[in-house]
Amino acid sequence: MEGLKEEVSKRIFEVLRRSLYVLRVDSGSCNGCEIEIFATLVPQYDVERFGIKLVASPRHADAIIVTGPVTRQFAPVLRRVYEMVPEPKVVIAVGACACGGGIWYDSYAVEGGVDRVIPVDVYVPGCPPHPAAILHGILVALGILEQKIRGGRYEEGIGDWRKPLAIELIESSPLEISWELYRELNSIARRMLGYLYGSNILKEYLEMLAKCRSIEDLRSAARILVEKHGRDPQVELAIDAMNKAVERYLAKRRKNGE
Amino acid sequence: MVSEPTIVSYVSKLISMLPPGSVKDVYVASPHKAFVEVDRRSIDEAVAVAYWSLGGFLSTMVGVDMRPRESGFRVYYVLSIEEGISGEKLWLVIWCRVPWHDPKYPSSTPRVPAANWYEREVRDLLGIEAENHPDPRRLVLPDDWPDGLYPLRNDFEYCERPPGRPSRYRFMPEKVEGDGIVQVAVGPVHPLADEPAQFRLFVDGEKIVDVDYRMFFVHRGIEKLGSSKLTYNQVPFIAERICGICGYAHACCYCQAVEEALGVEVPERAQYIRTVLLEVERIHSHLLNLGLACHLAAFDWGFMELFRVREIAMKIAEILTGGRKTYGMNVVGGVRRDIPIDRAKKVLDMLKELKSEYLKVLDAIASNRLLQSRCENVGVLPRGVARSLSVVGPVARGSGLPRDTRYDHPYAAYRELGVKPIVESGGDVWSRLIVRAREVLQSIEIIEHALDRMPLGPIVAEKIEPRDMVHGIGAVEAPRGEDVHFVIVRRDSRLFRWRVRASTYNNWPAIPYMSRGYTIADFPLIVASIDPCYSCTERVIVVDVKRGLVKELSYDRIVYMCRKRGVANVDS
Amino acid sequence: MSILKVVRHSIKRGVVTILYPRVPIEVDEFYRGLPKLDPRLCIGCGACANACPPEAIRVEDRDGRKVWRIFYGRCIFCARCQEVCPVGAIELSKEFEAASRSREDLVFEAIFEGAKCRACGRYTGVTRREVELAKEILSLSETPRELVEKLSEYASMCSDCKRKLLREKLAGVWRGGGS
Repeated sequence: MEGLKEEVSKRIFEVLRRSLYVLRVDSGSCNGCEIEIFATLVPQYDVERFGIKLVASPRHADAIIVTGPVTRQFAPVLRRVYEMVPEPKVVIAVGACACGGGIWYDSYAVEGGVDRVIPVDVYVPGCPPHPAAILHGILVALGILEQKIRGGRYEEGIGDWRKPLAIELIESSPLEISWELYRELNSIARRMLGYLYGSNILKEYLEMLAKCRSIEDLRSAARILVEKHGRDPQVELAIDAMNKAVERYLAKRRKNGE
Repeated sequence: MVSEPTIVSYVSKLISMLPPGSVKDVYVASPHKAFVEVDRRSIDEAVAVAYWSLGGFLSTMVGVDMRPRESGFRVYYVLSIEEGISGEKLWLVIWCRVPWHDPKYPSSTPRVPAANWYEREVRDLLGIEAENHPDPRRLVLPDDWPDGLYPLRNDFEYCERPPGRPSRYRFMPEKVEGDGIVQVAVGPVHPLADEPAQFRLFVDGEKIVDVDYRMFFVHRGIEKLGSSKLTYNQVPFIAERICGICGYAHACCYCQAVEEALGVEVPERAQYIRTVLLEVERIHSHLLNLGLACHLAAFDWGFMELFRVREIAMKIAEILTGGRKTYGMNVVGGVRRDIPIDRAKKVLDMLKELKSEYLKVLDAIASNRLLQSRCENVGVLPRGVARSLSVVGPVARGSGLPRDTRYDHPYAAYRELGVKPIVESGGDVWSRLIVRAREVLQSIEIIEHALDRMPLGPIVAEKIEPRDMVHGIGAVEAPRGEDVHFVIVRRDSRLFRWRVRASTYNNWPAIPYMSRGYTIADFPLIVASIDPCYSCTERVIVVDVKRGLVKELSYDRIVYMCRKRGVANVDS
Repeated sequence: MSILKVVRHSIKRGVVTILYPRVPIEVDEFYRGLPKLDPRLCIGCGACANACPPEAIRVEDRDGRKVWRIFYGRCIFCARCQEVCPVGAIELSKEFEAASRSREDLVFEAIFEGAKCRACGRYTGVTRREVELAKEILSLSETPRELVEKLSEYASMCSDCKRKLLREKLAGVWRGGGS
């Protein structure tokens, strides 16, 4: 760690002959990004150990950190501040609002992003970005760290398509479950556990279902699944409901004479 | 629980105190809410009666463009009737129709000062005039916005960008007369002091005589976006970004309003999860404010330690929701992610750690009397002024008003969990800090109870039936105070009108009353004590009324003066 | 006396600084970072674009092909895209260091072949993969087999041709013929 800290401070010193002074400008943000910029000062992240200081006046600043989508009321102020900062200067746009206007990019009261008003050197996406991401952005702006993200492009090739896992599991199930049953299981999982844990548990349930040949298989495998999740009572309730849905489906099929 | 007759008795009392024929219609929506339509000419009388004689506080005011469904506008005043009621409080919504060809109504501000900003905003965004308003300046729209163009009218497209017009914002010192309001004599406005700045301090030497401000640099057009391009399930995400510190409270408030309008029953487990997250937000926000107060009192050790303890709360939020600050957990009808039992256990352990660290830091701060001596008897807000301005949150509770939405209008799981408002009577910056410091401990307790008693069941409502043009009011106790959202929902799953009232909106007008008589160096502490949600100030114009001098100071210079004054007062 | 207490507390606590960037930051397993599309699974249906509140994801037609495009600069990391995707093609990763010197580096595009109508040959407005998936789902559903054949035919037609076919069928019924 000592090595990197020294290198960063050395590079800053080489260019500026002193610490890096950063001016914070809020062009109409909700203050979420402001708080995360504050958080870079806390002992856990401690931006000052790199020799980076926050200053109050534009005339002392080397770098401007801008948050907010630049409201119409604030645009002339931002331009004025930019002109007051002496060269060499670096502009860092922090947050979704500053990078592209955020959720209000086409509202009547908003310019729609910092680069519509002043030139931007580094964009830091996030809503709000993690303090470490902001730190990373400042270090990228200084040329000390490399940026990690690259644009990309994909063009469909022949035979590229992979079927969704759900379809493969349904096709391979010995109990011949239908798409409608899958939709019902999905709805139960989502309603009980939410989109994230629900889809994970649904996947595990389908994998288990693909190996079951009877209701008894299903019940014992389901017990193992509940054990795996630490016997969380909510998970147990969800898997119970899914079991009942499968049993109802099988009973209906038997009644229709298959 | 309050039974039906009581809301009816309040409505009858209101009718009996108004001139005959003023009340046109009464609709009792629930045992705790009634809509009373009055004649346009009597609306100021009705609001004044409900405020002073029935013991109501002004929670929000909404202007709605009803065209083309109806041929004009409507103006709603939402009052929370609180005095003299011990249990759950009542909502009384007084409204009137305003014809399109004569968009005026009598202003309530001369008798109810709390209505000041609301009526100015309705005029800015909808063009409905409040006659005899004492302060007809623009409030919300940018200075260069052309006259006669009203963004919230239904014939304005949300993304229109009209060319600007040159203009100046006229600062003027406040002079309000009325019952229980202190009248302050102020000096002339100096002609040179005309630059755009956010605060204007009128001083006599070092002492502040009056304060005026230009707010709403942050006006982004949220209400217009919510009722035009977004579907009602996208709106919780924009609501969360109204304010980056108390955003989740706004998202909950919006969801509650829509759920009430559509008659959606939110499952119990979802209510408990929302409660847990609301309290996590409260902890992080109060620790932020306490840290900021330490910083302004030049006690940076306290600042760093409180922020370090706050990181534990941020980590708890990350574990429960996947994000440190923006939780993204709400949809209309429930929440999007469950709390698995292993994570709940982890959070309980982290809360124990947070509590013990917090108590250690508090002990160290209290034993060194730097903060207390700096904050005591500064920025006093008398109870009578607090009552007439309808302030909310720790500002109200610090001045002896026991207002807490979790207790007055219980929502989420608070009915079962039970919360008692924490009240101090000093009315100064120190009292508000004490309220917040104690609320952190109260929040930790609430989260522990909620996680222990979390019921099993679904986390989102199964079906949502569409309805057309239904009203809903949601109120939530954000860390800063009461947030109120008013919605009218359309049949096609979009909003017809969405009115957001953030908590600080009611607290800002109290700043001049809290600052008069104190020095410039006290000003940042006073502003920080209402815990504002605003973008940082840049420049402050100081007008010395006695000597006729105008000085421009950067806000950070004033903060420096505030901190320097703190060091001089240390006694250890 | 009180200053001593403060100092003693700090010394006992020790150093808490995380030595980022030398040491990576550990975030929660389900932290909401950059959304990553698996282009092999995506069918170009546009559900994510409909749900995205800031319109950071756009799905548009370009020369008879469908273009899925995300601009990370405007993304608010809400995970609505992950929630609504019918095939699980997009998931929020744990990456959050997304600083970039240019807007172009914040854009990812995926282009999918459009389905051509089997009747008139024009672009139907949906991708080939969507049509294939629709046929798969039909074959796995409880719909009776005879109907599945017919519906699969419709799946490969553009909406104009579908309407024409429906008109002809209705005209046939009206004239008293079979369906």
